[in-house]
Amino acid sequence: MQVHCNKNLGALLASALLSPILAPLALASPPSFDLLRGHTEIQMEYDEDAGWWAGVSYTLSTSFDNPGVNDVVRIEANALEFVLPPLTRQISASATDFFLPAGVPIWRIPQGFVEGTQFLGLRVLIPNNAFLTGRGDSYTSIGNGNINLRLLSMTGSGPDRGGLLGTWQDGSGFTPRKIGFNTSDGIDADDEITILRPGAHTHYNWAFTQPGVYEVNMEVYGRLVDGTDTSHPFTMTFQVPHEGALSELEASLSLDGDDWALLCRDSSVSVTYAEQHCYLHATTPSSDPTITGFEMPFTFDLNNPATRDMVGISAVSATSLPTFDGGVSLTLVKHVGPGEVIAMDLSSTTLVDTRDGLDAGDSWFFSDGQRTGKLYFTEQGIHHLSFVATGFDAGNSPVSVSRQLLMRCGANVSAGHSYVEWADSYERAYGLSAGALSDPAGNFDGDAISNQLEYLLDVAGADPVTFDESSVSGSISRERIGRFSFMRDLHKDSLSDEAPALFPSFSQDLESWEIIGAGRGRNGLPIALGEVGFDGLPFRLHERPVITGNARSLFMKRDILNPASDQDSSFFRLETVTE
Amino acid sequence: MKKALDTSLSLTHVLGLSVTLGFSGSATAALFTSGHGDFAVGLHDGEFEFGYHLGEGDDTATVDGVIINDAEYEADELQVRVNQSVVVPVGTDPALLSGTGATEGSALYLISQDSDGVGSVILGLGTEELEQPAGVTWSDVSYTLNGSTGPGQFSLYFNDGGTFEFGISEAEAINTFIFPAGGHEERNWAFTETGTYVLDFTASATRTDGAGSVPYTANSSFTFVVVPEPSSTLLVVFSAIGFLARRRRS
Repeated sequence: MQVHCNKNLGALLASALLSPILAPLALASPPSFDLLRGHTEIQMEYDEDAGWWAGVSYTLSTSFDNPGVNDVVRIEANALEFVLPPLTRQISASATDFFLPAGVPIWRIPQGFVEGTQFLGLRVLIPNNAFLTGRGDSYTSIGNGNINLRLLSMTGSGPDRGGLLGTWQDGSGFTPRKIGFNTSDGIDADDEITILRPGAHTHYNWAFTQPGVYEVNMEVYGRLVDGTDTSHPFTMTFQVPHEGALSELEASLSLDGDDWALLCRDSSVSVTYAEQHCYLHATTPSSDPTITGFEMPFTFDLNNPATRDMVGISAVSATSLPTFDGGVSLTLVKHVGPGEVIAMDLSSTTLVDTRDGLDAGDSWFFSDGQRTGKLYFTEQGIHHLSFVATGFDAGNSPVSVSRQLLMRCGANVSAGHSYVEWADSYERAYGLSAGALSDPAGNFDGDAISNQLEYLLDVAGADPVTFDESSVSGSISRERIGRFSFMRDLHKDSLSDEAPALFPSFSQDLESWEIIGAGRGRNGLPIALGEVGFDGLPFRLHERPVITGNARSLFMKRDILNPASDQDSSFFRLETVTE
Repeated sequence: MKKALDTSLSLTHVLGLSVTLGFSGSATAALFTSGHGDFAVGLHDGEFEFGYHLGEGDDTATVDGVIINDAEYEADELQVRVNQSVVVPVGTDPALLSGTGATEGSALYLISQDSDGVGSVILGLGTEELEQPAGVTWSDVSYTLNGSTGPGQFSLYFNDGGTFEFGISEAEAINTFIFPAGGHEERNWAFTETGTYVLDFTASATRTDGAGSVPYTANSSFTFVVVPEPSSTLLVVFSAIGFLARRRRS
């Protein structure tokens, strides 16, 4: 069932992608959550009877219209990850000069709220006069006491590739900057956030310097009034997503059971991406005198070395080689994009050429290992290359055929291309008149998915001109009953809720819709529809990551699960904002 | 011995005086002295309100010595105590000096954006009560300082890693700024002298839904009571005692 709904003037545009959720599903393992934005606290508590608790907390939405709704939800630190969203990415300047030179990229959770990022505070609930005042080995009994938060170690692919962490407070400008953690000179007794007093609530900047996973292993500690030292370790995980934009195609295929995947590697930073989690960006003009347009080098091999980070695929799956007696082929079965695509190896043998149509000959054959050459795009624009991988037996019969594996490429068009660039590319790809796709609120192919939504869902293979099942199911997939999956493209959607922005929303009656995790207000978290959800997790309805692999890119697979057993039917849709 | 007693009585008396210095508020306004509050706008029953929202979640606020949470106050129901100060260092960024009206070597009284809320106020700008369910959008909120009374100059600014963004600067005649709906941010609120300030603000924003756009505006006066930090008050007291003692002996 598809519903078309159109609103004007910067209001939300409804998509028509409704996914009926028929029955709740009990998951085998506890799902994990991530937070891309919203106001949360690192909450540190001590009670003389119960001891320590340290984790993450947030406050359910409060409003003047509903005074008294004031629930603080506590989440175990290991139940969620903080993923640094696009608006945290900056270039270092004087604020970070205590640990970085100027001009290098950083990802900073800001001390002051910036819409579209996390607003991460530190909150302390300890009794007055339970602790002495001080840090390290130096304490007095003056005042109400305090605790401190020290950094013990930092592990994960982020620090492994040299990523640093700095935490600091800007202050008022007159008071000196207060530095917490600084891993640029190693981790030692100076890496602490100190003098956290009873009832304190404060904010620090948290800046990371490389993509990857950061397990920040910390310990909250203090000295009780009787002289006893007490402490409590806990770990918070932060993810800095990889850009996922590649200037070379270093590709491979994996086969884990029946699941084929087309893998793209960036060896220079040790990342492997599954096909929808990266974007090939060709910017070099063609060096072949017979071909106009842009070129990109490719290397295909079937070695599948493990890399430090895996995005969109697990390490086990990615390193699982397809082995067939008759070899493996990768065939280009569909090209959507302006102009033509040609692939030639170093001896100028043409492997793939769309100029004469596509057939089984437009293939790479991998019985002999690595193939190296160049991929050419004759016209600037966005190109969707759909491949099928086939494994052959000794008699040359196909014994395993993959689903369509979509590789998105931009010939001189960046991953974060604008709506205008996208519309122009598809107009040329399909020979439409100029301007046919110029209206983001329009819907050229009549599939009730607006052009703006097709633009945002290009990552999943959406096509504004051809309505076919693969383009719809590429955008929304109902992999299992009770789940609704979709892809977010954070190159385009900065999560600031300004256009272009993608919102999932939820309804039980197809009349009133509620946006899930809209990111508005202090929280950026959904109002809980009732009490605490299943498995003890606080988010009753929330957009969550579909995590395969240990790391992320700016192309993220997300899902929404409605675990409630008292809902006979739930409907989800995707909406977008045009201005 | 009698003289010593007289001195000690005088000490108590002067200390008592110093504690009440600067608390010159009206009898009906309560004093917000520490914890978390927001300079808040919201829409209730069709009325656009511009006042305070104090305390949220585990972040309480203390008003008249009582710990409260998630409470709404109209602007004239509260006075905000400012009790932290710095001596402006030589070599301070000139942008900060000109924006706050402070001079090197003198004291500047602040509600700091990185205050931890213990013993002092944290004050933010809060517009998250401007709810935006599906189909509803609020414009940015515009705040204008129409006028003020007080012994010194007021400024409101944000330190973003060494870049100072002044929303209000009386010293530089900046009297209006905007802030997005649905947001919340801590700020620095600076005053160049102790005493009581009354700041007359207007807040405006427009709400748009399927039926059209409706502009809202509200005027409110906010009172800040700026006092020296407790330690500096004590110094004043001791020097006065020294003077009194000398007078008695002679």
